[in-house]
Amino acid sequence: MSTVTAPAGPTVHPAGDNLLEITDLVKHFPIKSGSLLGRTVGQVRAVDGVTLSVRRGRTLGLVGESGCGKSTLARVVTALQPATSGSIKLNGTELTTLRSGQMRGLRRQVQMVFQDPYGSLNPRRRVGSILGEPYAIHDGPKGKDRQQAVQQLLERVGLSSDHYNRFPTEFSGGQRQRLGIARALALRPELVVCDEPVSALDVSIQAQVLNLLEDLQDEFGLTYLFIAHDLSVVRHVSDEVAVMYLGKIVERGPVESLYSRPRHPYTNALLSAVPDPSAAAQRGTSTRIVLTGDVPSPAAPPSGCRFHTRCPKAQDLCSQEEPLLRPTPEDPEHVFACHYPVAAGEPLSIGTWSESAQAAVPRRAPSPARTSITKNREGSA
Amino acid sequence: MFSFVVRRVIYLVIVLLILSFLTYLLFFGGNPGNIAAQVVGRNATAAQIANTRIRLGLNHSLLYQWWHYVTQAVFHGNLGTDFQNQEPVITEIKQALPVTASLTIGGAILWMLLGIPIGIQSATKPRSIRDRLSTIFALTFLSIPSFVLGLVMLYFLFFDLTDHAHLHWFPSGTYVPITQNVGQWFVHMILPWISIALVSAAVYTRLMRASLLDVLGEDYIRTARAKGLPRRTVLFKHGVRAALSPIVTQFGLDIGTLLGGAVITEQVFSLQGIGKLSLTSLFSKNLPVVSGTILLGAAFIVIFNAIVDVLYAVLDPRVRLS
Amino acid sequence: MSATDLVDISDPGGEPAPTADAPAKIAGRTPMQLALRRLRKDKLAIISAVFIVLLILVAIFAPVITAVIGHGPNVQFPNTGLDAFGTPVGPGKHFLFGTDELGRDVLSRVIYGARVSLAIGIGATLISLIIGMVVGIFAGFYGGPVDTFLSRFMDLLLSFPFLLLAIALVARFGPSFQLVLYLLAFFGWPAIGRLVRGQVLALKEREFVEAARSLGSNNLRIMFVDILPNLLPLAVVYSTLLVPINIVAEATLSFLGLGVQLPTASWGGMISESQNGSLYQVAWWLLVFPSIALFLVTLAFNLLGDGLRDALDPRSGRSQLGK
Ligand SMILES: Nc1ncnc2c1ncn2[C@@H]1O[C@H](COP(=O)(O)OP(=O)(O)OP(=O)(O)O)[C@@H](O)[C@H]1O
Ligand SMILES: [Mg+2]
Repeated sequence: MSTVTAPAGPTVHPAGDNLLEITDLVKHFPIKSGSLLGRTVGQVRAVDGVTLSVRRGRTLGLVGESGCGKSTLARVVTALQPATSGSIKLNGTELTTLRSGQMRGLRRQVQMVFQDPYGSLNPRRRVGSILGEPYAIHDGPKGKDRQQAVQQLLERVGLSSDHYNRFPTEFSGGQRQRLGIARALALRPELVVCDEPVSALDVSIQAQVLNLLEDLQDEFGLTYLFIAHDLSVVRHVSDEVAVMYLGKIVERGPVESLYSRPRHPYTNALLSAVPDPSAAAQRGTSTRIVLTGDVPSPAAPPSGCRFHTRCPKAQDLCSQEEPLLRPTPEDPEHVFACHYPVAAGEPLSIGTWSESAQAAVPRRAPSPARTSITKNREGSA
Repeated sequence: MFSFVVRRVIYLVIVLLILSFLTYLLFFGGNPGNIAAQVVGRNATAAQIANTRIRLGLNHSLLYQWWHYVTQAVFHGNLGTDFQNQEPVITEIKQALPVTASLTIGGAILWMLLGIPIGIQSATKPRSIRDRLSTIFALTFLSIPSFVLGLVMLYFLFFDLTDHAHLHWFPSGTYVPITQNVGQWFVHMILPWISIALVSAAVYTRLMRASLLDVLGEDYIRTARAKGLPRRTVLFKHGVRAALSPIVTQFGLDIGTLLGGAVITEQVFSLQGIGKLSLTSLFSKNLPVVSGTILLGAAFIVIFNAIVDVLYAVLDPRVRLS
Repeated sequence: MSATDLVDISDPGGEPAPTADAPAKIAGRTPMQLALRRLRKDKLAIISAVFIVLLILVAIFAPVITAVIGHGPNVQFPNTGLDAFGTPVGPGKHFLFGTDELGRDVLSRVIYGARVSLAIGIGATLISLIIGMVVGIFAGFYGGPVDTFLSRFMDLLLSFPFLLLAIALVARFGPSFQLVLYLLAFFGWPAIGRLVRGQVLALKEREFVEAARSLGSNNLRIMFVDILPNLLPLAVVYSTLLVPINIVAEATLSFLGLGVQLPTASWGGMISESQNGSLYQVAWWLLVFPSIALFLVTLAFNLLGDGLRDALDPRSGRSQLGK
């Protein structure tokens, strides 16, 4: 099938040509009380006013601690969940107001690669049926043609066309993630949202899958929204990076600028934990900073700057007034939201910040920990 | 707690009213002329039939008839009159109930004594010889229909022993009221009890095994063991106690069902209990008796369900929330 | 804590987790293949399966077989089938299983009885299965008020007294094959529905459902193309266990006179006839052969179902109690 194999060729996209534009996007989850009536007693503000854009053919990396709302953002962009408010424009078309009939077209243009290569493939269906599913839903090729298309997909992602009749359980994690990628590519989408596509894989496999993603991007002119909590992975694949904290973007900019000169203390802390000597050298410091305290609950985010409860530079103003995103003087593309930004090479004071060679930024916490956030907060507040 | 019980009772009354209406509809909703004709007998004149219709209240609307039936039943203990011998249905039920109750209670005690320990045994040592034996026991008796079991026991333990060996160990056939002679009552009930209990014991063995295995797989069992509590203590205080809840539910259901008529066992052993009464009345088209027994059976089930619910609420306060 | 415990925790899908990109040969079997391998080791289950298949063949070809024997199920043989006093003759050269009080061949009747038992046992199970799956999938998938309503309804039906309802319905409509079939189907589905609902509740949270949605699947497609195949092992096990329950129930109803009516041969009906006037005291074969048939077929289905369950869920039965 030509839809899959014909290389689109490296298209040169003019700068400023945004495929995806997200403006003031909000996603709140109501918290229901346990009673029969299920009254809404609060809101989990998982995504709380995010503005982002992704250039055509480029990759935007999105990083942040567990629970900050990355996956929720991905689900809203892929229309798996409705937005509470705000706007998402793809190619200039507003997606949040699409009716279900028009949604089908959108599905072809936006696809998702999931985090869990074990959970995201149906264990009771064969590879041929899983990868043929997009064609079945969207009136694609049938019968022999479909099989051929699927087998070409398999080969394109580095698997064998003999795998057509196997079950997902017969593959390793990395191979399964390749299947997930193949499925996302079947409809030749423009935008692919990758939600932590390699974080469940062995480090040795991660690079292979990342390289595959980059190759496919070149070949098909794909645009990626690439979510990760691992900053070195994001750096590897992204053109631009956005840092998210408790439902908000706190800093955003081109990779080089953001990694070498982070302005937001949160970005700074995340970067200091990256075990990457060259990055540390670039920043001119090798101190590792450990964020203390728990992430506040997104159901009751702190006033003002959401980071102030954990920030070493926090002043009174931080808890009163919310800082807005503003550009750095050096690069108008690089924006940050902080009243007291980190200056270049600024030595880090020791206080709530602690130095330690072993500790790192909290990685993915097991899910029960998330539910205990509220309790911890009430204890320490 | 009190409000929970009140709510449960209101629910119970509503279900009973609905059930009684459905039963009434099913039995008398069809063709009133037909019923009247049946009551007066074959050679009745049209005028007699019409008279009977009025006497039985069949000329009123169905809803009215049903309401009359319910109020009569609740306030006067009147479930109507037998079509055949003109006796009040309630009298016949009163005669049959002790038989069914004896059968049910004795049988229940027996199957609990058998099923629970065997189930515990096999859950504590899964895949051991004992477990396999208990599985064979359970599957065997689950596979024998209880009427076959009853007949086979009758054949070997009653006819064979009595007629051929002249040993009157297990008399059968009649029910001796407990008020009349406790010993005879007991001896006469032995075969029916065994017959009713073996199949149920198999069910309870399986249920207990599965439930206890689930509980024993929980982490808190390991924690309790790690704290140094003895195996037996953990097994009974933490394991068995938690594993009993599905058994209690099943027990409530079973008792309710059987009290409404242990039809099979009563039929096999010719015991004149509720089930047998219902069945004979069915074949002689004696509708008031059939509907009376069926309503009684439904009432028992609903009431025992409610009792189980309330028991749960007493034992586990979380239930009341949902 | 052992290494296997760790695997269980880290693997939410419950499947073997091959590590890295190494060719996943060792664990590379489908769940079905693994289950079949375990099942093959269970001799009782295999014997039972063979027995069931043979019995189904016997039931299908009953007319052929009885033609070969030469005795139709309802043909009376007053000369050869009854002795001088008009009592049935026992098992012998002529009548392998003996004859009944009308001089009919018990063997032929047992063979024809298998038709009734299997038709109702399997037929009612299939109807229950379809209804139970559909209702369970809808209840589990949609949740909320739909689930509350359907679950309450299923609970209510589960607490219905089977025999009482049978008596009530026979009182109204008279006994028949169809009535038994529908009655059993009606009583069987809530149990399956509840099981399926529980499974769907867990399955719908799996990521592959979200993946299907992101491809553009609608709810119906997700329910019946993505979720349904994952329910099949459970469905197979519980149907296998429901068949013997239905067979026993049919026999019981026929025994009580509420089921299939004479002269149609059914095992329950034959046993009931043998009890008439305590006939089986003199002609034990009237009780014994249909009872054995009933017992064997029920046992076979139970053993097979038990084996299937163990094969499909090998993790059940690991105790934390220790020594
Ligand atoms: N369906 C939902 N209902 C209620 N709350 C939700 C729901 N989905 C997510 N949340 C909450 O929204 C917040 C953000 O969750 P999200 O999954 O987007 O985080 P994440 O950044 O992807 O984290 P991770 O790195 O662990 O994947 C969390 O507090 C989470 O508990
Ligand atoms: Mg996530």
